[in-house]
Amino acid sequence: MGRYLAQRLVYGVLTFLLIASFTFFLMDLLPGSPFQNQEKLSPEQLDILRDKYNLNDPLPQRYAAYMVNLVQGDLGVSFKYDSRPVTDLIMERIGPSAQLGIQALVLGVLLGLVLGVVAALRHNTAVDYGAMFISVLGISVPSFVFASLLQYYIGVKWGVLPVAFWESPAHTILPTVSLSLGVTASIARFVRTEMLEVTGQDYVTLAKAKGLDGQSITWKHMVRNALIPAITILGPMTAALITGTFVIEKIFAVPGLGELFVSSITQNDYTVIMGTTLFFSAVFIFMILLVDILYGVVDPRIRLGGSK
Amino acid sequence: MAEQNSNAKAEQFDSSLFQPVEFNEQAGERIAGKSLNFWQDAWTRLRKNKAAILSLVIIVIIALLSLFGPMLSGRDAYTQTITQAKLPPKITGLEWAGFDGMATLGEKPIDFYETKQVKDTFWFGTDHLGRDLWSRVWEGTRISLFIGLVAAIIDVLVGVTYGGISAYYGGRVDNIMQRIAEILTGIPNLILIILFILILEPGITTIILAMTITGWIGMSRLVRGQILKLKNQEFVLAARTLGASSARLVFKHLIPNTLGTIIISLMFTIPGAIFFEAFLSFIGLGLAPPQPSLGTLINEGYKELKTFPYLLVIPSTILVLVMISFNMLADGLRDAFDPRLRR
Repeated sequence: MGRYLAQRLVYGVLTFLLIASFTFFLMDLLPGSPFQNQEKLSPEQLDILRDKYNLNDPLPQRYAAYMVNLVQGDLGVSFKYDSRPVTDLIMERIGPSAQLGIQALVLGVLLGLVLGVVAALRHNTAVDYGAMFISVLGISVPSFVFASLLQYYIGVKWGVLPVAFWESPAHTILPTVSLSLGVTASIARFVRTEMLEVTGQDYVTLAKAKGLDGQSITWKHMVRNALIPAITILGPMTAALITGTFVIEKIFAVPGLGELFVSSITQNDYTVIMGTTLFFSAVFIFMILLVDILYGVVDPRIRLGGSK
Repeated sequence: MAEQNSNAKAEQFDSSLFQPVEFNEQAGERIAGKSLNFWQDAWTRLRKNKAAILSLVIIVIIALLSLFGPMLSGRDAYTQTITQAKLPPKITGLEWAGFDGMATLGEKPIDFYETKQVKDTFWFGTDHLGRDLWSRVWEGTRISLFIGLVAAIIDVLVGVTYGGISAYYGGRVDNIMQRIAEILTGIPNLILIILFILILEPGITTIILAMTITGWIGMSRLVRGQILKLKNQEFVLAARTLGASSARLVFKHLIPNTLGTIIISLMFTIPGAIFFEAFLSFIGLGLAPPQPSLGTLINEGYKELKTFPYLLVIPSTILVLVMISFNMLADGLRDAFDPRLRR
């Protein structure tokens, strides 16, 4: 287990460094310039500006400097936002994004769990078909379409909830619901499949033979075991949530990381694009690692790394 | 007790009432059902799945409309007529269903066709530059479907080759190839896609390329798993004994046996690719302006949502319909190809 963990950690760090190098060289190929109104600047002024951000140094030197700084946790300064350190910008934006992500995850998992369990218990009935139709709908409707419609009908037309911005808990409801749609759908499908899988297991038959009531068989024996494989979709789920925040934060004007990423792309703010990219990658790599470890911890039948 | 009872009953019957069945060895060997090959068998099962068949029909209709839709309205998807801008949808005979050419500006609904003095009717209305939305939607659908299809096919080709080689040769080759794939999966693909699009010229080819860079990994995993399972089976050994080459073994024996898996995965990849294209267009990284795709149309529609909701609702509906149909059909195909997975 220890060895396996160390190996996985090394892989994670390697992947991260690879992504860092890759994005660095990609940034260099990026067309356009991070300086606004470039045409209005004289070549001397532009040179001074480029000097200020060390853009005149040769590529290998800049790469080395960036990697050394990266290891020390320094992501450079933004070309916009008054040359503020990128780490500061990220720290500032992390709050709303984390809150939004966690709220959506909790809501989605709970709803999906209920939907999946109910569908499995009422297998091949109208309830099952209904739940699965909702689930297919959830997977098929892109979150930005769902979010736009929610914003239009609930926010603008009926005026029940705030249309945009991130101020009170009420402001978080629409973005959370929009983001959780995909989570609900995939969890529901997954839980249903796994529930049907465990229904035929010996320990469920035994529980029935012992005379346990339906409720405790369902929740204590079936759901718990059905949930173990659900951990594996945490990785893709994180990726989906990050993807979701890009559009949801744009639609609802949430001052989060996704919004920062998207706006830095349109502004050619190299350092911010790199910083946010690396941050998202780190989160993603960490989640994949966590899934691997959790999987072994939750289900002792799975031995990591093949050791006994 | 019960046994005695039934014995007593049985004695009431005379043995002459029974006729011995003649044992016919040949009849026992006769095959009763028609022998079905893989495809016929899958089709029989798929046909019973109403949702999947309905989805197939919807996909065919949408695909046909995306090819011939613009011809039906007789209008071009790119011609701008500013005097006819932002006309809500109007279909003669379908006014009751909302296709009445009315939109709410401020407080009360206004008939835009009257105020702009336009005699023609536009089935899906027009956009902010007066282009016919019907033609644009179908043109966009065609581009979206094309992107989804091509991206999925490339994913399959690369994934099958990579997974096939990795599993077939096994050992060190497999080990190295899998480590490479492992590192690639560690990269959040969306970010990679976005970075690629930033560097290359925005356009259909760029989007397809960007999506396929990491898209094939899932496919290669599936194929590798299948081939690992198959390669030690007797029919492979038999073929090898008969002197079949590696290429023949892989392409004639192993890959055809994984076709079910490949097709299912292909069907799930298409809606995924269509979604990604729409997503990228929505955050402004999609196709360059005059060219419509479902994503760019939705993005344009979103900006006008408050006054002209039809600009968002119509392309969104088509997109959702396409996505649902492909997902349902893929589900149906999975059940049809692999009944063991049936739930």
